[in-house]
Amino acid sequence: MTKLRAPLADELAPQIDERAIQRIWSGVQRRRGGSWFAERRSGSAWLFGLAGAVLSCALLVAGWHWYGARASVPNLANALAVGPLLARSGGGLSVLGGAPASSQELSDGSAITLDAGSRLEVLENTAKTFVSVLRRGRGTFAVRPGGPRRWTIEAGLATVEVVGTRFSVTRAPGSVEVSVEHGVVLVRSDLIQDRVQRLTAGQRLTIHEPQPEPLSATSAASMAGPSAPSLAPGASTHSSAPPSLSELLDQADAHRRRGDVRGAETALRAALAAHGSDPQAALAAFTLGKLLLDMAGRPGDAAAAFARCLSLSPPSALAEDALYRLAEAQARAGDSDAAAVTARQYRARYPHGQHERELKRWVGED
Amino acid sequence: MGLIRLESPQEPSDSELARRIGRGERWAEEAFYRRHVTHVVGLAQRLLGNFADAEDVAQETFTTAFAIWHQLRDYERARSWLSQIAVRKVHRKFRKRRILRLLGLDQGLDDLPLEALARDDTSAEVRSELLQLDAVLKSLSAKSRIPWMLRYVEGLPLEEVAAQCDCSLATAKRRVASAHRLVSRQVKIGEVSDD
Repeated sequence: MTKLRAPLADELAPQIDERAIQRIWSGVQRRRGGSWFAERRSGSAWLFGLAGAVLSCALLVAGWHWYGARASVPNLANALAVGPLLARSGGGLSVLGGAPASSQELSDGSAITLDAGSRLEVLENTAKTFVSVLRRGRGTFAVRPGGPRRWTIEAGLATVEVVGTRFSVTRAPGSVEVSVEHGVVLVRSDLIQDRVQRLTAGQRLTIHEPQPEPLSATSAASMAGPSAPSLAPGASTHSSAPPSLSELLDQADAHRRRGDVRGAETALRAALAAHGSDPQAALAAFTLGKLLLDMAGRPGDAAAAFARCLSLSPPSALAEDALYRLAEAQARAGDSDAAAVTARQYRARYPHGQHERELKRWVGED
Repeated sequence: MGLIRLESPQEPSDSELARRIGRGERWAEEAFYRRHVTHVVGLAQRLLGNFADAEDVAQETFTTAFAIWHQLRDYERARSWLSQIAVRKVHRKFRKRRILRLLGLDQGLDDLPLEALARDDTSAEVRSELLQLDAVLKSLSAKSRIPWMLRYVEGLPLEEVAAQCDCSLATAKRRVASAHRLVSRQVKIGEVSDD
């Protein structure tokens, strides 16, 4: 009898190919963006699911009879509506607001009221999501509770997520205020602790754009590198070794967490200047791009950072994100021709890219 | 803008990827997935002996891992943590199979015996031993089979076997030893070195 050698895994080879890798990844993506049921259907939960399905059928039949017994059921069609939200008066939604104050009732019973001079643009409007960006001014949102759509309102410094409630968002230069009348909203922002805050009825959150801090002696010294800008007097005589790329990235993170966008930018630029040939420099450039695009509102500079990232041979998964974000930054900077060129590059390189849908929006193909 | 160069990617370390995932960077999730998917699928295939179930386990493992990423305390151990999640999913699969079998719905048609996973250069004798081993393993309960396989197929130290099976070291030792007694009657297998 031949004696097998442990560990046996050394003698075995997994049966997996690129198609399986793609298939599994798509499944992961689908489950993460999917429903509670999709997430839970693994394991023994399927038995409960089966029992639930039987119960649901019984309830559905009972409910059907109950509805049938009623003389009239106003807005039933709206309540069960699929597809995008529409204005109740008819027509689609793309840009709301203008010089006078306005109010728009929607097909699912929700309503958006905008103060004079406010502007709200709808970015995505489907049966499951409603994403809009409040460019300026104040909007009050009464979202129908229990509706099928997840609402997201982008407001520059913060993102507000909601399922059903009434709340207002005010965007002013350098600040965003979210105030909740009923229900619960989630406010996401790099400028708040843990990047997310839950607000309930009566609560209000104001986020201010951070003011640039003067560089401390420590941080100025830590920026010392071959081409670090604006060194503090005397810093050049600092005898210790210049900070590593990892240390500079950590510094940038610390600045960003404190809301110090300028400090984070300086650290990242110092990292790129001093460690441009480091394998991880592409990460620094990508982080800089994100910072400039998402927090500083400087899409032109962000585009340059993403292009720099791409020129530094990033890992493949980062390259796809960087190329997509380059197109986004170019579009947001108003350079639609460059965005279209980048979008073509993206599609050529990633025919089944994960950002295709958002890309269409940024290059105006929706 | 000049030409964009994407060749010769320099991959970041596991802990760097883990840190980036913690910050919500999606590219890092995909990079981490691509780096470890073969390991997870391989582990699931060896433990389950079924192609489709192993894919399911891999999918559920990564979905769960990304959903509970904040629970990962030691970024250096991301791969081991991932394996632990995968082993839990494998346990669940075995439980599900048992229930299906009770209901008469499981045909027990596993399509990936260890022999089918053998490398191309594996000798006919070893393949035959693997077939025999597979038959013995099928007769074991999942509670014995999985710890034994983690020890003798994956080569994990007993402490790690205990951690991945969510049981005490004493229980892990007992289960591995009792399974090994049965396996040894049919197949000769060398001891695992913990060095």
